[in-house]
Amino acid sequence: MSWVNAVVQGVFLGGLYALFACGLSLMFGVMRIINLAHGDLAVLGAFAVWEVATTTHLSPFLALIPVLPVMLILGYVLHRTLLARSLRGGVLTPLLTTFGLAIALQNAMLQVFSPDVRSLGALTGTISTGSWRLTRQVSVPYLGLLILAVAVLVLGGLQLMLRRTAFGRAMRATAQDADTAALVGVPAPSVYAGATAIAVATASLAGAFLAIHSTFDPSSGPTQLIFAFEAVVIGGLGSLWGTLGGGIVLGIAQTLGANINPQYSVLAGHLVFLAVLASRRGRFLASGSVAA
Amino acid sequence: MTALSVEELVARHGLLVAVREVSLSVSEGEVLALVGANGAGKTTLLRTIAGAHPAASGRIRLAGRDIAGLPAHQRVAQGLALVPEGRKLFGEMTVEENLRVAGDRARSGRWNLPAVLDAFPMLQPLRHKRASTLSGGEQQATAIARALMTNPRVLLIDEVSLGLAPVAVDLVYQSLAALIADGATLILVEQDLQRALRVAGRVVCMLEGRVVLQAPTAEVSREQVTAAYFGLARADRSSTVEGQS
Repeated sequence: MSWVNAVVQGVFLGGLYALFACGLSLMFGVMRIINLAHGDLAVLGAFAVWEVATTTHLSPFLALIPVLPVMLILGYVLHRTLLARSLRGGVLTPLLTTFGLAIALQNAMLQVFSPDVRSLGALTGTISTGSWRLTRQVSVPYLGLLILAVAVLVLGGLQLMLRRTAFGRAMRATAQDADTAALVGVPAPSVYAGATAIAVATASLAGAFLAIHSTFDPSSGPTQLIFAFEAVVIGGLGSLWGTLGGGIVLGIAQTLGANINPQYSVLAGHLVFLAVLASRRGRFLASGSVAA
Repeated sequence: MTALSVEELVARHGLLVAVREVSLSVSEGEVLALVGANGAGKTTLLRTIAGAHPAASGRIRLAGRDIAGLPAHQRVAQGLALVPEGRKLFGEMTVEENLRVAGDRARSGRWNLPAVLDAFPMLQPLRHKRASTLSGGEQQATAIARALMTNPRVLLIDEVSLGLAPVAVDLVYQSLAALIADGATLILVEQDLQRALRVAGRVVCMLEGRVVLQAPTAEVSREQVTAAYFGLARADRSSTVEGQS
């Protein structure tokens, strides 16, 4: 029965990974930028929530309300100042830029917040610890369900925005062919800045949930980046629901691995990722991204 | 009134000068056919006017305002639209979405989704089909309709009939005839000289980046245009046969 429980917990963990991954997927889909600072921006969001929650004694969930708009603006400014310039330098420049940004962010956070490991879990009360017991072996944690629900809402909302709104259409048109989009009046720079803003805000949301769900410190970013990247690749590039599926597959692989031996948790996730890369779809992904 | 004027425009592809000091203008309601052999610089000229290709020097005026320094999307806002060579639809989006994305930031004017679908009735049943699944003629109609959605003062159409089946070409020209009757200002690049001369009020022929002939279609013969097209006008008239080889 504990295997069933492992799968259930994996689904909830997958919600968190999908939340991390959707911003990464959006930026890659629209601009072909692999944002190596994505995980660190998420951790920055977690620290921002920490600061607001500890200084105002608000619940971290309420602290998200002022933090998310600030992170949206930060993402917008980040694109206008840094990424837009590096995009003009070719395909590899943004990769190097975000790599540099990741290092700068990690060290700045280390300087400002110290390397102490923190958690927002204690500030949220029973939400982060309580659960419904379905059977003696299977339980549904409140927080897991909340994160999964938020992930579904965020991904569904993004999907709806891409399908139904003028900004979503502009984003899809720019993703497919930025030059032609400009010829029908769509300014690629503002679409890109908008996509980065959304990506940074969703990353912050994911970072805050990571901080509530477990622990974080200034060097937590790269691990989350890898999990997000794996979720995107397993789920298939350019598909938001695929990203949710990819996150869940990764989550289940990790909890099943942990069920065999706690040491195998991360390894099992990596193995599933490698298996997908080695499969036919992985080869398609590799050739597809080069062509684009 | 002059809708669009281009003065001494120069555009390069690296070291190659593709457009050499070209000057031309179109009046409101005029249809200008731009002809010339492959590599004459027609496409580069249109792309430079639309802002998709940088101008090395020269001025581009739209309704009197210099737009040469504006990026492409702002030229659209000023009333200039280009139907690019090869249609360049957003293949993953439906026909309706292709039209809407152009209409979302459009200038105000008479063209909106219902008006465009009225003008291109063939698109009505295709509204929810993905653009990549359309035939060539349907794609060209969608591309022209998409450009119209921006309510342009001047519409530039590159290679109207290239790669289309004859039936599809007829359909596209039917729609164009309706636009022209409606008073649209057009510059079109067309390989089919006969069609170009039939539909346009004036013809401009380019050769090696320069304008070598510019005349009202009523005043030029097909032979004169052909001679300019191949650069024979500059050769000795008596040795035209040698000039062709």
